[in-house]
Amino acid sequence: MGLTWTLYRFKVRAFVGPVLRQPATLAAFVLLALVFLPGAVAMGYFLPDLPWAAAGLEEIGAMALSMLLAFNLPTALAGGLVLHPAEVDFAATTPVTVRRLALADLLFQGTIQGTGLVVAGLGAIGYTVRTGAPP
Amino acid sequence: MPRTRIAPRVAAPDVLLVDQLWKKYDDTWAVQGLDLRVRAGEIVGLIGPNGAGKTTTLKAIVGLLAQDAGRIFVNGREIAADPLAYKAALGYMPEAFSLPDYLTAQEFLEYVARLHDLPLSVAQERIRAGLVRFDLLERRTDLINAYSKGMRQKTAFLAATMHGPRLLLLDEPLIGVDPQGQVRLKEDVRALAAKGSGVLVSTHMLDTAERLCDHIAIMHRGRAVAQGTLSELRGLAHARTDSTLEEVFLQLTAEAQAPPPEEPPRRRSLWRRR
Repeated sequence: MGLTWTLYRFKVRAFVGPVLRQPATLAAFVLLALVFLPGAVAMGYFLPDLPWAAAGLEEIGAMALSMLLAFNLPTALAGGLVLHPAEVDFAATTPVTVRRLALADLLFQGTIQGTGLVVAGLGAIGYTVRTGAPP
Repeated sequence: MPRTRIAPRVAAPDVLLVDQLWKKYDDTWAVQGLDLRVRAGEIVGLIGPNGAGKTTTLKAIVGLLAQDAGRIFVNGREIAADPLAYKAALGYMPEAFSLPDYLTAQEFLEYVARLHDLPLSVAQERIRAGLVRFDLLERRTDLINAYSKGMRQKTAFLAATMHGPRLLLLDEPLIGVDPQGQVRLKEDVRALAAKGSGVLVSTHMLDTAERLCDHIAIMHRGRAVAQGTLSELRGLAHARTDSTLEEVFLQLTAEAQAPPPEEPPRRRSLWRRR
């Protein structure tokens, strides 16, 4: 796990570095979050009022999105791997197995995609406040 | 097709042996039946015009490209037999490499050290020594995106060599490096060879190759047209005894203007290890 963790940490720092290491970019990122995250709560709050809510279209939409994401990983370019060019030059030429690289990438992509859970969670809070029951 | 003219040498263990390497991009053969050898303690220069197939050869050796035909041996073992184990013995500095712009040199080198399974204390010691040697110590906590071309070259060289590779592959390592850095880089390469490592340096800088390398392999149109010491190459080119590598290079590449073959031979190579 140690080597996978090393590969994972590199990915996070290399890809998120531009945000974390530049104060102006980080400030802009926080500002955007402050603007849009309350919107997620509002979206959850007003979700029951949407005209298609009764028809169950949001479930159909969620299923279509899930299918798209499920097929995206195996069919995407480079097998769905997100590789920094430095990883090709300096990690792929070291004794690191493809399995470790892929696992680290899976963790990394999970981390990035997982940020969407924050939005979904806030939406759920809004929905619960409105209806009195979690979605 | 004509075989590479390789001058006979005193026997020493092969660190790298390339046997009839072929590599094609779409319909173009980039490497055509290349034979190449690097022995322990030897610095071999790989020189040739643009498009000769030097970088393709290096990428095939490090496993970034799959060859269409031919075999590659590192430390006597075919790399296809154990594609992971041989990389532990490898150090590679590409020509057009990428570094993570938003990491510091210290962080990046620690990352590479961990990939090579170097103990932290050893890694820290070697990184510090390398940074001191290449005048990067004061800038070690700066982000790499603030580095000049030469500083990036030095960082990449340290990443390729800090684990003491048995086989070091350098692709144009001196481009953009200041004179002091060039001297130190060449000293480090010689020191590594003196410890028994084999070094293959691809370069266009013929004067550097002449002074740094024990042997020279001249590539042209995907083939190694000649390999040997400078004096041996002079003999192969029927050149004067005081000819420079530049003159010998021009002579040998001018002789190798035959049209390239279409496909690799189907029969197994007869080229054997000595």
